[in-house]
Amino acid sequence: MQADIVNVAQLPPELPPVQPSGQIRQLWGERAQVFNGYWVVLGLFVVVAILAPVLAPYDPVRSDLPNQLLAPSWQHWFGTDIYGMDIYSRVLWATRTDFSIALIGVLLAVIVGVPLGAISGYLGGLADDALSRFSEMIQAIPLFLFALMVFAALGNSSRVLVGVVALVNAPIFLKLTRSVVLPLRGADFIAAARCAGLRPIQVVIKHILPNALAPVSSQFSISCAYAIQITAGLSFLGFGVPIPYPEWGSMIQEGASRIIYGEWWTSVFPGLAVLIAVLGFGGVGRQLHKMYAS
Amino acid sequence: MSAAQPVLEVESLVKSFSARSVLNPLNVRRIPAVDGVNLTIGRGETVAVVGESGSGKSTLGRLVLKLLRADSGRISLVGREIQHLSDAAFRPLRRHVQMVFQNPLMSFDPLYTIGGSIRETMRLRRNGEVDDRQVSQLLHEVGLAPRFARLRPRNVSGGELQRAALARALAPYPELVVLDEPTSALDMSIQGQVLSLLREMQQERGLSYLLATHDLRVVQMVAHRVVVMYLGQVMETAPTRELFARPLHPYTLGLFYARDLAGRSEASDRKYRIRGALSYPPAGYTGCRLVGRCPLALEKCKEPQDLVTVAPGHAVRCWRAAAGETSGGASNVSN
Amino acid sequence: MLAEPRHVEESALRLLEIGQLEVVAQTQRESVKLLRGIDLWLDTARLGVVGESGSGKSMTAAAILGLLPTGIRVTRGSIRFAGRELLGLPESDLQEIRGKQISIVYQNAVTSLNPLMSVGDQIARVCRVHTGVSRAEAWRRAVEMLASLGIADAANRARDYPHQFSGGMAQRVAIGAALICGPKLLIADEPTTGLDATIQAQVLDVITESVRRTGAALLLISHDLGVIQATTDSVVVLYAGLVMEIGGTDAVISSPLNPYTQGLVRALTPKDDGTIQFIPGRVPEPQTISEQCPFASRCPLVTQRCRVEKPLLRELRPGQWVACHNV
Repeated sequence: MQADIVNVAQLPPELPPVQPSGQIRQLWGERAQVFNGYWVVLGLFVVVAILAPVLAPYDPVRSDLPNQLLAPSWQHWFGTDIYGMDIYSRVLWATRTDFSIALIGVLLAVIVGVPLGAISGYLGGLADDALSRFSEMIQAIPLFLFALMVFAALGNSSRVLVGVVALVNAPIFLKLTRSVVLPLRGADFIAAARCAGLRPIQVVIKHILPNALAPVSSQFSISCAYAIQITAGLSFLGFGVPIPYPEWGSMIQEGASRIIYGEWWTSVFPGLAVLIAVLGFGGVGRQLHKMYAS
Repeated sequence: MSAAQPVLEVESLVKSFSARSVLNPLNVRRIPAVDGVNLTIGRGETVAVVGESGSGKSTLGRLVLKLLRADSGRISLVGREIQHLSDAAFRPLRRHVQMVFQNPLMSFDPLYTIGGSIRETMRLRRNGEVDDRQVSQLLHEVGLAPRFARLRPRNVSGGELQRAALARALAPYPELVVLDEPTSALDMSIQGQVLSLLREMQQERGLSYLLATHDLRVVQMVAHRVVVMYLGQVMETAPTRELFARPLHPYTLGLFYARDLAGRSEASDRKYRIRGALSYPPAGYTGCRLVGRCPLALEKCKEPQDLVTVAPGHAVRCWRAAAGETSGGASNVSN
Repeated sequence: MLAEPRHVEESALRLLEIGQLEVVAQTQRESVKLLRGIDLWLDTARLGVVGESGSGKSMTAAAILGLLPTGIRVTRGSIRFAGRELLGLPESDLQEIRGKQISIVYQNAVTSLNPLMSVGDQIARVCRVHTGVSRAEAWRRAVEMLASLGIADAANRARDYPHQFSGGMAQRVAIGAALICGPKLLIADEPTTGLDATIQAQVLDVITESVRRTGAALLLISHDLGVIQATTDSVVVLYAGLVMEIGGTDAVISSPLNPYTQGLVRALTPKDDGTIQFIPGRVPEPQTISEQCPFASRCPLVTQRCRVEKPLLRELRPGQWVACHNV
């Protein structure tokens, strides 16, 4: 009969381990499931944004009045606007504007909101109450009203627009991170980290934040979709990017008054760009969420 | 076992939680998780704290590790009083005590490799030096191949992960390891392996264990002394062999009785069976907390009960047990 | 798998009979056998199924009720309940059977009950769905059931919600919902695992008492041989998807014939020096086991034959069937 105290060295060999894989390697293995059409769409936009100077046939801000309001044709694929500027070129260049404002704005929101949310969730108590109430205050104010206030105070420029996008999205990341961190607080591996002598701030940086990143990344994409809408919407109202810089929202606004005259192309193409960009970000966000939820 | 100073001394330790009723927020109840517990663990000794849910055994372990702050009482770790120390002041002493948790999968950060997690705890060492060779050495001692250092928790089985958890706990050469139900989440066959490993490590390194468990077989296999807790109080304490041969407290007897499901009868039910379910006593009640569930409860039990020594190392908190009125001896109940 | 055919008259009397059941888990990349040809039958009022994790005991229960998760299906075999073949029945027929003829209670009662309905409502609903009685009558029966299960002040407690019950009490509620329609068979899948020791005994008593009172048969699944010993008359020992031994509970535990059963019984009681003799090694992953005895890697009696040939159940003693090449 076998010995009763088992000498661990005599145990049958352990089964071969699953290939140690980082998250990226695992993603590569599942790439058919992860990467889909939405990523392709966004990728195209990024390519366009980078290569706009090369791809655009015309100078996007050079006015050419004799050729104003031409319908789409082989010389002007999307037609021209009221100043004679080629809409196709402007839509391409505007990709840069809108994407950079949205991405930078949301990035700022993440940089501010996520650490504050982690602290809020981990420390609890007064810090949590203060931060939560403050972010709720921001969330309670209607977007456009809030933007109006900020622009009135700080002036009308694209920098301020970026700030508005960041400020509006920061509470979302704060609350999201907080809600992910709260259940993590009681996790055994957090207790183990404390037993290892880590200070609270070290625990937050090394263990809490990395584990909170999953939902944050899917929210990032969705917030970018929201940010594009904010950017276009505010520019439509005349805030943020000044005319004649190409920006989808202001382009839609310019063309809005021409629609009743049958000159639809001035608004429709930038509008489509906004639509597709928002759908792209949204789709990617949902995809990331599904991936992390499984 | 040397006669040197004890590794752990706990005196009159108290920790309560306040539970707020959802429906009536003004109604705050204080739940005494640990209520005046005394405990001593010597070098190379294993003390098992036995109890069911609500007994306070897990809370006790966390208090010793200062994961929770005690309300009052004294905790002395390797001769140093730690109950009043701040987090920062306690940090250099953390290398003397470590913990192994119940669910191995949840006790490792899923984003870290096993080696990474071990290294994190290894930094508590005096010289603070951490290198891969030492990590491999530790893994080898617990029976894991060096390649486990590169694996992530989800790619490792429960038993292996618990062994890795032990390796991590041993990294800073602690004198005391607190184990909270270390085998309940594991398969039966694996339980035996982990327990054998615990015994081996203890003999090799002269470790002391504070083992919280509800499983009497685990107690029998690794513990030198047993402390039986109920609702935050110590009900009985004795060396393992003595406790299994001569359990005295009605609660201890009830635990043994519940374990031996096949050997029950109407007659023994009347004498040993613990009725009803757990309920916290109303504020201000100072008598025995088992009243209402105890088959041997009398009026006098509602008076405060002290821990009375009935034999060397054997103490019991029950006037009837101290008077010899509870047990029919081992033959009726255990195994 | 059976080596010898059983007598036809015996088969006709049995409430539950499973023959050569094979269950496979199918993923895109591979198919893994979870049950490798199980035979079991209900000869006595209370049958226990004992096995470690990976033994397939919960899969067996799921297969009986037609509740296998997606991706897992039966590939061979038969499950006969009161003479009627369950495999291949349409979902509507199975729904008729579940709750009314065969019921199940699971491990964690608090989570297996609907948190948004009062416990009385839940039991009453089961009753109404299967018997069509009025609301009032169903409620009355629910309260009566709760009282008979030892819940004090049943009329008021029936209005409470699952989270207001402790683990042991919630399990009684689950048992009530399972027995309200008077099923012929109650399956209990690890009903007391995770409960405190003192509560465990109470719940087991409730189960045995209530199946006795309602006349239902009991199929108790557990990894704890002690629980099986206390609650059942006959036992099936499962290991890695295969039946190792079947027989009367007392007979099997007092003189086990299969080496795995012997190991389980030995681990039940500690030796004199306090140590417990666990079975060395561990349960192999299902995909690593081919047509062989799954216990071969840990068996003290292992021979070359064990590694290549699956053992068949043979009646080595009257009423005790063993699958092993070497006994």
